[in-house]
Amino acid sequence: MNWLKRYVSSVKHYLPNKLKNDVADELYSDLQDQCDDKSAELGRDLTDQEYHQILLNRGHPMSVAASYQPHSTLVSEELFPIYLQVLKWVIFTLLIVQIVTAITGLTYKTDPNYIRAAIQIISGTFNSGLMGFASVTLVFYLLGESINRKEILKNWHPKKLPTFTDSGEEISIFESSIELVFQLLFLGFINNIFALLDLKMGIVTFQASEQLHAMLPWINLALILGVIFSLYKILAPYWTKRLIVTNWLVYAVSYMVLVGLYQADPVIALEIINTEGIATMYDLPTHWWTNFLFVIGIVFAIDIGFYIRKYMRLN
Amino acid sequence: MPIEPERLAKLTMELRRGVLILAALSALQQEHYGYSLRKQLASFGLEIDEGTLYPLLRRLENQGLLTSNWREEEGRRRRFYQISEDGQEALAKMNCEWNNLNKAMSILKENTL
Repeated sequence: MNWLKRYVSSVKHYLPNKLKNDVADELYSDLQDQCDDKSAELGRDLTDQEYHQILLNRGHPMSVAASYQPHSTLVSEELFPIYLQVLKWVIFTLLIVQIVTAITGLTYKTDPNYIRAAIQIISGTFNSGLMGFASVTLVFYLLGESINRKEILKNWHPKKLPTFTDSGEEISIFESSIELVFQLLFLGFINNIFALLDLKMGIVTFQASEQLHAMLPWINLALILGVIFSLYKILAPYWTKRLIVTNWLVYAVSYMVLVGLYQADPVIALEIINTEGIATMYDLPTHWWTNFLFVIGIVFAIDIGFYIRKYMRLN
Repeated sequence: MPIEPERLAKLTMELRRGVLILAALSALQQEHYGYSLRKQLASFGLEIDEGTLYPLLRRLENQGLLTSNWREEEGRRRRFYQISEDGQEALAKMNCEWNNLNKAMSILKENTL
C-alpha cells in the first residue's frame, strides 16, 4: 500500500489547497478498491510490479491533478490565432530594429567588431523579445478578460455586421498589428527613458525639461488610446464611417500631444562626467527636436489624407 | 490509406466523451461511489478511465446535477454520488436529444450506406 500513499501524496502536491484532501481521499479509496479487486482476482497479494502497473495506467501525478482543474489560459481560444500573429510580428520587428541599430553602429566605427555586433543583436533581441512577449501577452489577456466580462462574442448579432459593400475596405490585421507593435514598443521605450531621467548611471545622467516631464501623462494617454484602437481594428473586419471618425479622434489626441511637445522646451540632455570629475552637457539641438516632430506631423497628415479618401469612398 | 490506431482511438474517444455525461447521469439514478460506478458502466460495455470519470463527476456536482456525501463502508471512507432534481430534469432532456440523434443517424446511415 506504500505505493498508493506515495502516489496520492504526489498528486496532492499538484492540487490547489481547496481540492487537496477531498481529491486525495477519493483517489486513495479508488486505488485501494482497484488493488483489492485485482488481488481477489489473482488470489494473492499484489507484487510491486503490479502496483506499478496500476499506477502507470493512472498516469503521471501531475496529469491526474491537472484533470481536476479547469483548463484556464492566459489568452482565450478565440484570440489565440491573432495573438500568435501579433507575437510573431513583434519578435520580427524587434529583430529588425536590433539588426538596423547594430549595422548603424558598425558604420560609425573605424575598426568594427562583427562578433560583438552579432552578440549584441542576439542578446538585444532576447531581452527586448522577452519584454515584447510579456507586453503582448498582458494586452491580449486584458482584452480577453474584457471581451468575456462584457460577453461581446455571446451578444453578437448579424445586425452588428458592417454595411460592407464592394467599395468597403478590409482592415488589414497585419497593418493594425504593426501599428499595435510600434505603439507598445514606443510606450515601453518612452516610459523607460523617463524612468532613467535624472538618475545617475555611473558617469552618465539623462535630463529633460520640466515641460517634457509634465507631458508624459498625455503622451501615455495618446499611446494607450492608440493601442486600444489598434486592438479594436484587429478585431473589426472592415472600415466603417464610424471607425474612420474614431480614428480621426485618436489622431486628434495624438496631434494635440504633438503640438504640446512642439511648444515645449526641447531639453533632453546627457550629462557625462569624465574620470577627472568634470561634467560635460550634451543638449539635443532644438532643430533636431522640431524636425523630428515635424516629420511625425507630416506622416500623420499623409495618413489622414488616406482616411479622407476611404471616407469618401464609403460615401 | 488505413487510419492509424492512435488517430482512431482519439476519434472514438471524442465520440464517447459526449455520451459519458448521459451514461453517468443514467447510472446515478442509484447511489454509487466512483469505483462502483465505473465497474457498473464497464459491465454494460462502457469502459471509462478514472482520469475522465472523477473530474466529470465533480463537474456535474458543481453544476448541481449530482449530489455527493462521504460515508464509511466496509471500513473505507467513500464518496457516494447520486443524481439531483436538476440532474433528473437535465437527464430527461438529454435522453430526448439522444433519441433524436439516434433516429437522425439511422436515417442518415440508411440513405448513405
